[in-house]
Amino acid sequence: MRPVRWIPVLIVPAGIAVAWLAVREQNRVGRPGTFLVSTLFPGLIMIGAGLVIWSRRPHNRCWWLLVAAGFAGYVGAFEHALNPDVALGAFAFGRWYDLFLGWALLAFPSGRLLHRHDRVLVTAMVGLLSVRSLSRLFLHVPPDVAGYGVRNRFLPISDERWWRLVEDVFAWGWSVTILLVLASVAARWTRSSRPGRRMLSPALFGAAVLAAAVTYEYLIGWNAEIPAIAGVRVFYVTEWARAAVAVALAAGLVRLRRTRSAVVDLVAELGHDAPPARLEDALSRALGDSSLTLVPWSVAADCYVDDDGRPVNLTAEPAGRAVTRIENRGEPIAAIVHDAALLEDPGLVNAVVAAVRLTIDNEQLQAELETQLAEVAASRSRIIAAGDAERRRIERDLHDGAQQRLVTIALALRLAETRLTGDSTPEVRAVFSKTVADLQDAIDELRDLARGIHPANLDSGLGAALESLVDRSPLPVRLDLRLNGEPPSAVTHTAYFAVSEALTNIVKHANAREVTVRAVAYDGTIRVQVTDDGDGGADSAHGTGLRGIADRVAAVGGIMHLHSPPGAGTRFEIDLPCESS
Amino acid sequence: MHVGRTVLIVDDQSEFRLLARHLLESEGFVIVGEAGDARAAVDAARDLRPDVVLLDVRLPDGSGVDVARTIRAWAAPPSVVLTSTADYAQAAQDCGAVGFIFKSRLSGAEFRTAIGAG
Repeated sequence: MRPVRWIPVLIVPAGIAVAWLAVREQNRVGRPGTFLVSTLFPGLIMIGAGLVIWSRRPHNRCWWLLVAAGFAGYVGAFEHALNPDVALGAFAFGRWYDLFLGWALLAFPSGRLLHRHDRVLVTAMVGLLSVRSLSRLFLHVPPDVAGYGVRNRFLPISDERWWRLVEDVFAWGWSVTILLVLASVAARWTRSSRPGRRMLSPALFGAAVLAAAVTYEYLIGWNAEIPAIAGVRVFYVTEWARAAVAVALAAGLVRLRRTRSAVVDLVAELGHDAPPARLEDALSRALGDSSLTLVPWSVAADCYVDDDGRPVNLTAEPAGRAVTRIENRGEPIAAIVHDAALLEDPGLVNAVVAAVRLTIDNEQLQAELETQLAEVAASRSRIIAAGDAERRRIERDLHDGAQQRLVTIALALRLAETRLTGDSTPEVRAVFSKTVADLQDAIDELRDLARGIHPANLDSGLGAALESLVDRSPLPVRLDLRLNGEPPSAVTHTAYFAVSEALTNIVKHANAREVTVRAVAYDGTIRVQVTDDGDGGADSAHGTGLRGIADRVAAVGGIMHLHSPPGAGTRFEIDLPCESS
Repeated sequence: MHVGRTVLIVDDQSEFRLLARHLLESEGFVIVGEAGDARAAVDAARDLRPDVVLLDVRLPDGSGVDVARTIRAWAAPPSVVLTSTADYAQAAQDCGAVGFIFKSRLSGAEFRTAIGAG
């Protein structure tokens, strides 16, 4: 829900108006300038602090508690108003701002009273102030300045002893209550770990200041030997101290917001490539909780697991530890085990959870993407392997079928030709010779076709296959083989077809005079290089041959480079990962 | 002189073996035996001690290249001529064979040239 924008529009003018009225009232009774300043600014500071909190965290109740404290702070300025009802009201309700400040301290930083004893303390403060206000309304007897004898405005009471008693009891009770507020905040601070203490430090500071001010005001100030002078001093001290409390609380909440932003920024910075350990470290640093651990959810084991994959029982965490579970679309992703003090600021934890969810979600998407890419790569390898196997099968079928039959016929004809009798005419002999020659040509063409489909030399190894390629090339080709063992079949096929394509292109287009084919095994890789001194200008984007080779190279996880500046020859190079080389 | 030189023919195709036998015999070679697979080829070469082995590269139970290497490793081995429908000239050099002949081109003249008896 968006913060309501009209809130400052109402509060700021109202605060200024009330402050101006208060200062005017104090000025009317002859207060000095320093007194007027101390009347004007502390209340405005408290209201301003509340609005700062509202602007950053509109759902945190601390903002309106401070605003209420600011307005309540001006009530006491009207104790000497000309209107007796206004003066009595100000006299009766002039101290309620401490309630709002104490409440804000106990509710810091979440804005809610999370502990029972804090709720009891707030109730006690309301009770004490109510008794005091009622006492001032119904038991107070104004001073008998004229000596005519006066009584309370509402009740026929002319003896102010009960009112005095209530005032004395309130002074002690209020001091003790504010000290208990300090004790509550201090106890929370003491029990907390480093992040919790850092978070609660502004409240501890504020509670200490408030307790000191109240103690000074009720137990020291009013018992001073010269109360009139001391009262003025007490006013200065307590008013500015309360302003300091409000500033401390606002600054503390703003700092929390900065911490939250830092967490989000940090996790966003980690991005999708953050391994869990690094994410855990980053969160630990950002939250200042070195004990923080990130426990991933195992889909396979259907439970939270540790780094070794063992199930983790998150319900057995010791006291002072808290578990925040992270889910995505209802499915558990991970859990953060952290200092329970971090729960004092649920918004902070929610921000962390959202950031971690985003990061882990990204990691999962990345992992799924990588898995799919791996599947695609494996699929491509299988397709190429299946294609190679199919080519081999076709070549074998040709060899075992048509080629063998033609060979048999050719040999039979040749045998028959040798056994022609001397009576045979030259025409018959010529027909035999022509038939055998034609048949031989057909067999040669069929052999070339079979070799194009699957070179038989590949069965003899990469080295023999490349030597055969080089031997058949119409150009003089220097062959440099430095192989170490026989690479896998897919690598051998890829290297062979790459060199074959490169040599074919050189013969067709390069006008080269010198060609070198080099195959070198190193560090689990085979580098095949074909260089020439031809025209250059080759482009793998043009023509299907090199594109097909590039696909083959990529399918076996290799890399292809083509360096072919115009007029400066061509260097064609592929690196093929080769586990068994 | 090739006349009387003994030859072992190794091929899994019986028709080829028969035709090769007639072609070589017509040129004066003496065919001392035939084998249809790699194992039988090695056994026959060891038992018959031919002067030349005409050896198909593709055999049902192995490669003629490997058979040639085995045979050539013996003391006083026979000469080996590889034959196939595909081009195995380079492989023939590598395994110690004296020559390679495409099956379709097999003739007495080609065989004599291959064994250096022409």
